[in-house]
Amino acid sequence: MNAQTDFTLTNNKANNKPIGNAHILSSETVLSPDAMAEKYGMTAAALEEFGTKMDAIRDKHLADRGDRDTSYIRKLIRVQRGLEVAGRGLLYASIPALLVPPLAIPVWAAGVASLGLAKILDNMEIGHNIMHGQYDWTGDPALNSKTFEWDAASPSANWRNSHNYEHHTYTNIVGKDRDVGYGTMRMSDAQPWHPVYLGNPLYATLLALNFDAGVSLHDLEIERIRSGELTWKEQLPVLKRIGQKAVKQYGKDYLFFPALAGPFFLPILLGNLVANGMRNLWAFTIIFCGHFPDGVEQFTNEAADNETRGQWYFRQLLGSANLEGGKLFHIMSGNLSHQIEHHLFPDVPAHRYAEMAVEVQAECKKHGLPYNTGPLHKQFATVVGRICRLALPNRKGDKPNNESAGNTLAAA
Amino acid sequence: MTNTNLTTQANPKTNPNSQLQGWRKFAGNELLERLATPHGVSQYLENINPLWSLTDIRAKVVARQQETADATTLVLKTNGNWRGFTAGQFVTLSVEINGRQVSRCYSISSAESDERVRITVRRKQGGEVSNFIADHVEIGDVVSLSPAAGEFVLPTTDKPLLMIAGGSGITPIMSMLRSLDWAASKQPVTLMYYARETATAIFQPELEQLADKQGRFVLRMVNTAEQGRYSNKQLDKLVEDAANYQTLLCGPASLMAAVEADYEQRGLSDQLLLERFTLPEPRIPENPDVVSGDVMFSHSERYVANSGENLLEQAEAAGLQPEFGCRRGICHRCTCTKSSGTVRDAITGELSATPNEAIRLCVSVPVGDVTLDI
Ligand code: FES
Repeated sequence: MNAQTDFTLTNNKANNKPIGNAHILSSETVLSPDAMAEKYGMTAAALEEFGTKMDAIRDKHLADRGDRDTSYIRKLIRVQRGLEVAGRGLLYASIPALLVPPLAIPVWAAGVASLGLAKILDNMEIGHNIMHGQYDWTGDPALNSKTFEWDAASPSANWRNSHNYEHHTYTNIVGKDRDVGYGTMRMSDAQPWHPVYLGNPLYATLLALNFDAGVSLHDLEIERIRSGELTWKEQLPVLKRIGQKAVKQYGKDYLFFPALAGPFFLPILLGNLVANGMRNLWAFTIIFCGHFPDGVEQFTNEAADNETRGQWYFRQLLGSANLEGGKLFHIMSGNLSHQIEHHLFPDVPAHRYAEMAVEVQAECKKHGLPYNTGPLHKQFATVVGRICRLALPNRKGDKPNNESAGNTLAAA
Repeated sequence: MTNTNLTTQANPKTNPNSQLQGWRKFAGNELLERLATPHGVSQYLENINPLWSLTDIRAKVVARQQETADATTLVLKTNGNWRGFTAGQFVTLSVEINGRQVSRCYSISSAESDERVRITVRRKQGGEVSNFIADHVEIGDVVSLSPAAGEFVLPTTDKPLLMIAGGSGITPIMSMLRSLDWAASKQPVTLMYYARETATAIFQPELEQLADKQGRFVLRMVNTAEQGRYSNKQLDKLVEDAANYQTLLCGPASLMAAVEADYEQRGLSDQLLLERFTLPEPRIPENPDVVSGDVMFSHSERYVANSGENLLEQAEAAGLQPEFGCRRGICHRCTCTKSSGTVRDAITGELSATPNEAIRLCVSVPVGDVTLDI
């Protein structure tokens, strides 16, 4: 191991100010680094050991990258393109099928399903992971994080910034990780309550239905413009990219493809709309299950300052939750069902997370650390619970959402 | 003296200003591109057949020829994005080795008029790509090419031509000899061809045949084991009145240096056109712990002495403003291309000398000279 393994954020010139709503209540549910370590009985030495072990898992898999990874992602891209072309084909095939009306609807529905699945694969297992730089080492321009663009409203250049940098560096730091609440919702007891959050469940529903547009607008950081931290002028390039991408993306789905069907414009447009909606609901569900189920910790502002590698790994582990399921489920979720492994190893090809999970769990068990995992319906139910509970002000006797982790591994 | 140095050539894999031709013109039309956004029509076609790319030059290996025990010729059928070449030029060839694209420059050895592009590669000890071509590239495989590039081409002159080649430096010269219109002029052409032993001399049988057939072509095989290395005396012995000739030179570094020095002494440097053919294999410096070398920023044309800090710090110190985010290897925002040199990963300690490699500036520490494409 190299002597330079420890690094700190102290040289981070531009980014010492918190992002977004800076008025955070101090709250017992938001942990400082010391409180984190104490709560889970991790001494400095134990944290160091944990970090070294995580580094070793990462190094092992990075060194092993090769044909297996490249073939995997290419195969997935081929499947995705096939589903997309088939989906669009079936949508058009539903038009002549109108001659036999009982046939038209299933053909149309199959087209929507196929197109929706294609969009899910494109955005999650392919796009999200390529844009994390998981395949940059291949040297293939089609798999390059800087050039890949996904089939969604959000321009990848904007997303890479907010997601790879802010979310993955400041994971679950309330006030810095803008994915906590997406600037509109109250997702932490530490966010002060305001009557506007009575709409929490409504905002969540709207966001779920328009998730790709939501992600796109999220990158504009409107809340920081309102608070005066950013100016419209500074955000102009971001806005420009959003506009350009929106014209292309919506032009394709809601104008050009429907127009090809001539008088049957509407059924094709509707097909695209439903397919996009399908993708939006699924992506929202998976992504909100990554950091908001019960048992997931949130952190104070100083958590990322002077953090050792061990502490960083520790924070990523405590701030993420996994979903259980079969191989297909993991692929369809972009392996974000292995959110813990994704946060520990964001640039390792995601199809390896299942293998890495075994090694990570063993390590957690050794240190008596929680490993938050559960089936989708259970995890999502607690997310919905949180969204509804936080619509109202904190009440005495509320049990904070970082307790009651019923599905964590028992301490060894 | 013209010096076309392979190392300074960019490595463009795509052919951006190529005008699409034939069916590609239709496939790349505005409407289809709008329907295929954001991936583009080309990506869909490539999924069916990599040769159908609208953007990249790809080629299928249609034959392999064993020239000598350690030299192989790949016969390539290029796709419609190939725009031809001038004899003497080279291409950057990319192959995929264990899931990773690796590129090297190779001169083309075929005639300009040949329908197929031939690339002749000699196995180098420890050479990743040359060994891969020798052992693993099969008929039917698809490789990527850059557009042809390089200034080492036949000069327009009435002077007799003297070609001096050594080892695999024969390849661009072979392309010239194969492309020459022998009937068109009386211009004499002499080739001095250096080889350790005749069994290892690539194209020797074809060259001998050519010498038999064409009166104006003289072949001088120089067996260095018997006749020694290039010297001023040797040149005068084998070529009468060398001062009359326009000389073309391509071979190993030692041969090039000897000829260059001799021509300088003779005051003939401006009659010498040369190709620095032998690229050093990328290798890790001997003492990776010693802070040494320079960091070159090729795009912004700046350089600084290596300070031992990570490349992001050094780029900023040089007045550049590369993109960054976390500054600790998580976000990949600072990723850029390292064209050459060795870097150490500050997290894993791993050293990497791979050319044209994507690296994260904030966790890469240069070891010796490093060139970045920013
Ligand atoms: S700045 Fe984030 S990886 Fe370098």
